[in-house]
Amino acid sequence: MKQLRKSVRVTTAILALMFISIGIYFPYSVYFFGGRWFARQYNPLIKYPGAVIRGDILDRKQTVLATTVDGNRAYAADESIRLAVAHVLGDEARNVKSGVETFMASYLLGLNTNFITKIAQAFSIEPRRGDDVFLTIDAELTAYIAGLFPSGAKGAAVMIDYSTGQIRALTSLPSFDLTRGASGLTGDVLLNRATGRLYAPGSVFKVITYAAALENIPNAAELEFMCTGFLPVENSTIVEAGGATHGLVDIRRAFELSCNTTFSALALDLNYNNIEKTARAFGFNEKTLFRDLMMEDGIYPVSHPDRGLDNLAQSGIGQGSVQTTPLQMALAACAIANGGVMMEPRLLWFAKQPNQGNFPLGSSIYKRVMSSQNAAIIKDAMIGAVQDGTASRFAIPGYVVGGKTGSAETSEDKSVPTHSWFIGFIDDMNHPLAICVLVENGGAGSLVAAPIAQQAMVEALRLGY
Amino acid sequence: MRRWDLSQRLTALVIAFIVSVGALLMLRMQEPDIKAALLIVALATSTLVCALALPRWGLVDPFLVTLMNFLCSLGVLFQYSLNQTMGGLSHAWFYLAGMLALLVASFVIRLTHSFKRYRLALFIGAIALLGVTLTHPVFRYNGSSSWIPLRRSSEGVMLMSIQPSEFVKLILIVLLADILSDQTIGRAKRLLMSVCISIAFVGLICLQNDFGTALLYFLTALCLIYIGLSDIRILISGCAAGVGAALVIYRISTTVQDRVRVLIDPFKEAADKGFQLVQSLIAIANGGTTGMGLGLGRAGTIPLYDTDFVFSAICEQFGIVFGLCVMFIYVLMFMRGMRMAARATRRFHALLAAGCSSMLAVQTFVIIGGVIKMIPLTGVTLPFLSLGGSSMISCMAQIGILCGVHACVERDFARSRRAVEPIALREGLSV
Repeated sequence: MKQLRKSVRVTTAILALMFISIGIYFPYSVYFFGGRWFARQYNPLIKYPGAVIRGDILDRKQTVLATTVDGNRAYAADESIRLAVAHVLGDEARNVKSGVETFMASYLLGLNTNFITKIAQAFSIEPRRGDDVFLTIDAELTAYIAGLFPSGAKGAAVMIDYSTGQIRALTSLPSFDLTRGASGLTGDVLLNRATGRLYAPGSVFKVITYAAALENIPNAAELEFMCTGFLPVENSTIVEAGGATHGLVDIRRAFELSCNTTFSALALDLNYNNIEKTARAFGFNEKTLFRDLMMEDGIYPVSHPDRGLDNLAQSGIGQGSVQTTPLQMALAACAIANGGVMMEPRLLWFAKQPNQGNFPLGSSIYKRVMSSQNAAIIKDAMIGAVQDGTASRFAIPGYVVGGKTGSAETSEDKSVPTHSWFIGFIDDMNHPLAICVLVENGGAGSLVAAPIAQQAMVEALRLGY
Repeated sequence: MRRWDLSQRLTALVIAFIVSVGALLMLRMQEPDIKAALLIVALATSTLVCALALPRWGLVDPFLVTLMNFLCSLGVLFQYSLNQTMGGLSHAWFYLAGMLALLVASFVIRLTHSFKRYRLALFIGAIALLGVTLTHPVFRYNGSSSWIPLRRSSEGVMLMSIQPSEFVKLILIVLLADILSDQTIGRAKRLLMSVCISIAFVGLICLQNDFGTALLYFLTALCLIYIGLSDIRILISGCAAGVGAALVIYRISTTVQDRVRVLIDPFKEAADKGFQLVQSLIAIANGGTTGMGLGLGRAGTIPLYDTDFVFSAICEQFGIVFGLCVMFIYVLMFMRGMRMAARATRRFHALLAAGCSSMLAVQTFVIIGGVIKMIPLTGVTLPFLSLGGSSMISCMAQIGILCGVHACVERDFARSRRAVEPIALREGLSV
């Protein structure tokens, strides 16, 4: 009997532990993910909000992007603006995943009110009105950037204020007209390419390989490499773009010239785990949790079935199975420009309750990605790439700017144009802007994406950012 | 006398809850709702009788039954708020039937010391009950064959049915408790017999394609065999065997694979396989800390909101704080049952109490953990709250068994206190 009582106690303890784990996990998951669960297009509360007037959506210059007129949603008069911000806003029927209309529905439907207001509303006869949402983006700038893309091109651009994390512009092409709604459109058009689609980053990923080298190889800055134009790995060979040979280069010069063999050799030195550690700091292989937007998480192939050396060498130059979104690479540029600290990207500037004050929403540090010394080294190298390297088309007279180009192969067939990538920043605390431009199958990053980024930056400077 | 006070206070609280929730339901329409008023009276009376009258006759444990009455009342009122036509009222009838089952179970346990004579009959009966649904495809419904249909609508939707596996739960507990407490047979034989019985039951339920219930049976049997033989090696090897079986089932069953995939990212297949879980999570998020209010919320969009997902619907209307409190009540009931097991003077009673409490606890854990996306979702009911007659009667009968054990334990205590022999006294004190 005594033994029996002991085993009864053991069983009680085990089962009680199971309930304690619910008691801990349940509030934890609701606290951290409840907002995500709520802001879904499947939520009946958002889909059929009942008797409530949706709040307006405005940009940072108070341009009305979406408002409610006689119970119907009306959008900005300028067509180019409507098209440029379509994915950020999302359509009324919420075919676009996690646009502002869905993701900030708790404000727009006025559900973020406190208990007392709620009771007051319950007794009021006037229809409830949601909060107005002011976004950090500049719609005019966004429309200008969207207009820079070659006609018919697919792609995305993201511009972020790296000192605060506020998103100045975010656009995805091809787009659609919000006034006509999204019915009948394919998922390809509705997809927000800046946040929701994964691409091979190509050479822009070299900033991460570079950071990994600085962190793990003690005298990385002094290492010299002999570039002969190709680097044989197990079953494949890494070659330079355009058949170039760079000769004897140090790591910085190799970065400026975007030398593939050097960065593949670095990847082979570093191994999967070291690069993954750095990539993870930049948000790869992690569940990112931003308050204002959702981002597909980049993939660094540490647990890839083919963990061979070929894939490892490819991963050093952002090929193979490395995948990322334009937003994620824009954030990488932000972190480098901001001394290694990544600010949380913000899309919501503030929300304003009817007849009441604002919810002020500040900026906050998302995380430290790397040491400030290493960030400074990579920043210098990116500035060097503009002054005397592949990113020269990003040069802006009168400003110190840095950048990195990328041309990501998407097919074995060499006649298919590469994805054209560019990330860059202005190194000036008065104009703290970083940008990422992607043109799908646009060609070389230095020829296509870099000039778009340059014009976008010039326009942003003109507008006073 | 103090403990009596506590249960009295508890009863007052439960009745206050019934009256306030019921009054809200009664007054929410233009016309006062007579049915809701009747429900208040019926539930309050039942709670009072259970807490004050029945314990005098040694039929129930007031503490346990009052907690159960709270859950049942919440269930009846909540089901009624979701569905005025049939749902809520049928839950009230199930509660009544369950009350009878509770009293019968309590009586049977008090009058019987051993089920040795009925072992074979119980075993064959259980196998027949579980096997009958496997014999013909007419029993197949929603991908599993765990129901015996009594009435179908013209479209073939099941209106009324019996779930045999709910009733076989009672047989499993009684049979294992009886065999494991039988000192006349050897230890190895006891182990062998109980393992064979468990495997037969669990296997048949797996064949019914009802892996959630199979998990309940398995874990309860494991707890009982471990307690009955008091050997930690049984627990460890049982867990290992369970993990092995789970891996095999994962390989074979596409349903289980779907459930695991959905657990990892439900929103990826939000319109398809993940629909249930996504709607459940959205409901929980809509409720937030304090809930949207009784009768508000969009419970109708959660599939199976009145059975499997009743916990999410409760969280939507009452908030997650209340949800956690409800879970805490289950934990209290479980602790109370396990305390009976630890206080019992006979092995049979200890095992019965441990079996019933762990069955209810595991069932609660499996379904709550499933709907909040902690463990893979399985279609078992939440005791006392989910709509369903079989589940309600079976769960209340398990409480009845616990009440019977409670009465026996108290009786034995009273006897040993009366006994004057110092040896008996010492034995009584050592428990």
